[in-house]
Amino acid sequence: MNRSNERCVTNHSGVWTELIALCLDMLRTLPEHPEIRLLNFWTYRGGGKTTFLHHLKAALTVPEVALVGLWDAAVSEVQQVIQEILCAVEMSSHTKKVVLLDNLDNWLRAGDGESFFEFERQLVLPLLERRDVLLITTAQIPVHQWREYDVRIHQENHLIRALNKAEVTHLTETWALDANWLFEQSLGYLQILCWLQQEPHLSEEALAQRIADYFLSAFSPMVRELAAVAALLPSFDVAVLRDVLPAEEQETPEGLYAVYIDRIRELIAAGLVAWDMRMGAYHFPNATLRRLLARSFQICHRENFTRVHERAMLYYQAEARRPGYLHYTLVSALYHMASFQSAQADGDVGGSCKRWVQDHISLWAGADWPAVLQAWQSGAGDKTVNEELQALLGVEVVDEITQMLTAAQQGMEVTQ
Amino acid sequence: MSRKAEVENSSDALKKARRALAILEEQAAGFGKLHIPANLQIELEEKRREVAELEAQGPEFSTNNDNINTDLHTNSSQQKGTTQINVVITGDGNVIGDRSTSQVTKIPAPPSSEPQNQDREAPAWFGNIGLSKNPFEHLTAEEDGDDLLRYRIQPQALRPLERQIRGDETISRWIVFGDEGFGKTALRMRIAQSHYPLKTQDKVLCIVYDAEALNNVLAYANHSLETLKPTHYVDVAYELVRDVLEDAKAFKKSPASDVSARQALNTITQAVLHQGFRYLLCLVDQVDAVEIVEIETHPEKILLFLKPLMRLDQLALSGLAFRYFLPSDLAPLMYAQQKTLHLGRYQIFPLEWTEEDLERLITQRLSTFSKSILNPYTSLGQLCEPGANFDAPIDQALVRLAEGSPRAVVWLANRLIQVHCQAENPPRFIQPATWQQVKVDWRRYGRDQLFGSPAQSEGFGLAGDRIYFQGKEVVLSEKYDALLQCLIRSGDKVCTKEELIQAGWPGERPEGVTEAALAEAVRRMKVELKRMGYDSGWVKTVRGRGYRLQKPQEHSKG
Repeated sequence: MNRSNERCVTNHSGVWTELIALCLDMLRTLPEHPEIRLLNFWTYRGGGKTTFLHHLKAALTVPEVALVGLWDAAVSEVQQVIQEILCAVEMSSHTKKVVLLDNLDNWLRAGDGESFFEFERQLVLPLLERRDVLLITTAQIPVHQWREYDVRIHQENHLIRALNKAEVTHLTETWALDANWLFEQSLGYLQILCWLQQEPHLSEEALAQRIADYFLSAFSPMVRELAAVAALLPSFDVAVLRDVLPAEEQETPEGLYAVYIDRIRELIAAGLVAWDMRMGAYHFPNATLRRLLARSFQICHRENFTRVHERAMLYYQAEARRPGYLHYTLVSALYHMASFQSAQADGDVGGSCKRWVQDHISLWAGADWPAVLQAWQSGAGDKTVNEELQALLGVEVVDEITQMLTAAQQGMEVTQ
Repeated sequence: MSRKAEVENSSDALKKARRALAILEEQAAGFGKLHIPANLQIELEEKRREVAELEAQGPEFSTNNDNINTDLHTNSSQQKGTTQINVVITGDGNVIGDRSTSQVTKIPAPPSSEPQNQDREAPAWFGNIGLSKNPFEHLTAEEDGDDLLRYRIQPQALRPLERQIRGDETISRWIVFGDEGFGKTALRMRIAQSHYPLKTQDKVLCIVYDAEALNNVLAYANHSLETLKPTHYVDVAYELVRDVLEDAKAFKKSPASDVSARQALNTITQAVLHQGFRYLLCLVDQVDAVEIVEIETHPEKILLFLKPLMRLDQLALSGLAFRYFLPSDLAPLMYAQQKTLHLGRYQIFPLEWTEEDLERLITQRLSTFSKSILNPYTSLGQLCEPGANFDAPIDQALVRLAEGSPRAVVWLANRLIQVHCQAENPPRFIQPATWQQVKVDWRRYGRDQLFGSPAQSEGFGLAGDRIYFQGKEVVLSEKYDALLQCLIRSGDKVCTKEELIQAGWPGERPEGVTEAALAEAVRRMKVELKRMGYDSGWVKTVRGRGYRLQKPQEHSKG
């Protein structure tokens, strides 16, 4: 986010309250019982890293706490930052000290990442040993690369989420723009809010194009294409990508997989995509960003949008024939079915999804029903998928499907 | 049906399954890997699983692999009770402690499964996929050595306490209980590494009573528990401190015969303090490796061995602190004698790992050994064939197999990589068949290596959530299974009625289940056991308190 955008959203309280409360809680434990002394808040670009730090600064009004300073790894040399922070911490006589550092991952991205490890050895370790300092950083990725055990056990990563409706309303109350409209357009993502504040008459198409450009501009065209398509899938692996995004021919399947994986790894390094160990698949850890990209794709590539959902639907419906795997596939199968039919304006979306479940439920004997229900009710661990399903199918149909799955589970228990 | 006929039938079934698999694989090959129809893929997977399961059922069924037969022969001889194993020495010389027996037997590593060509092929594979080496090659903390801190993780529950156990602020007494392979030694090493002499700037002097030092203690006592005295521990403490203190002159041993153990230990402690240390920290680990009768059948001997040290520890000498890292098996016995042992003076921490902890272990090791700093591997799933329908996300599946044991997680992950690297030219991605093989290996011998075989227990035993009686799986209906598991988990202690009600009626309020209902359920469980040919006399009623498992003859003698 550029500096002018930063100004338009700072100096407001009442946002990210739980994250700020977390920092204050950690501060309270200093210096006697400091379990966590390094907090990294992460989000993709435009997600509010710098803004968050400014809000945090404003909230740090506790008397015994000294805000030692705010540094930015994107514009400073590591050695300079280390010296300045060590010096400033030494000078402070407060019993509790807070050091803020923006864009920590910049040092990881530079060369072989040695700057990052210098920072760890020469600054983070000594600060942790002091026990009176809370180091708060931001980054585009969750930072797990710490080499020192003492650092690893005293650090945590937290996502800077998109703002909710109440926060958007609060933040934009002086903007003379309809907060509901702002929330619908931005889904609470900070960068979009800033654009809309500056250009409230931005057309839907222009906004969609700008979203794709801004968030994906750092990648090569191939990677960019993969990211745009993958954003339509709540969770994905290379096998489904092969169906929805045919790549150039490779001599071997392995070669083809490797092509996809190399591209995905670029997205992981940027913080856009992560591996979900629980689902055994990739996903966008920032669900709001995924929805923004998906919407952008829908507007800019309407036909392709329908085609991708259709292919994904066929893939997951075929996968859902395997009862033992149903808890990994059901949500995606229904999500893509509903998205496809909705894109085609295909009459009763909810009704046909419900019928599909009805038609198949007798074939799913042996499914892990508690896991299936849990996946269905949690949107396979992504509550925004749940929200989307409710919007696509209607709350009643969602409830009816839940009842069908519950009845299947109960049937299983009786049989046992 | 005779045993021979049974074997022949099963062998036929395996042959048929293999033939069917070959046909399916031929069909699949016609489509190319990327275009296999879903239904064929499903059939293929199911058939592979069937073959793997049949192969796992017994040595005789596997007809095409002499090496597997050899390996299984070892297991079956264990099942017959002819071999007792305390320490398993694998073919490559690794020593793995086994919790259940006393002798030392060399078990050859399974020749068919060990990746003979791993050294030749694996580096290339690791390089190709972006790992600097196999992150799971070390099974024990000792093998990891100084590297351990680069990738060590701890259970989340330990995080708030680690500093206290390390002894940074206080010199309180701690006992950490943990099963074999649950990270006791890793924690002990971590603590040792954070103090002098391993961390030279520190002001706490740390000595370690490990297996070697403890065996020295026993040697001072002429290898007899009856002649073991506190002074023998002091003698070893003297040696340990002398070895690490720079100014050995300041540190003169008093002849043990002239002074009490307390005085002698006090002399050592004062000498340490005199050198400028804040206190002397003694870490006690690997008591189950002391050369006395093994712990599973005689844990009380370990306790007898420890008692003189604990007596010394409780003399409250200033400038002295103890940390014990003890096998969980000792806990019931120690609690039973808590007054004598003054357990109230100790802070106690049970070392337990959640599934999340174990998943983090995988992530941390992969991440540490990934070549890409910015984009490290975080999951074994990322190394596996995409979309190949492993039976679950592999990390989760692996963690579940490991039954809460970090060492088992490392074993399984290492095996996965080893088996994969066995191939002539290992493909980039680990294949589902490799994972099937690892599961078979785990069931065939891996689990026994790490946990000891339930076959070796005399009575009822548990392997994960399965009940065994002298090596044979016992399948009961759900409620009775839960009740019997509860009894087994209580060991030789009384399992209270409340515990049994919680186990047997998990969703209900304890007061809602009457004692009569419990008694009736236990009676029916015994009937079911009897019907299946087991001696229900193992389940003994302890009037007014509950039930417990006890060998019938002992019961009748008693």
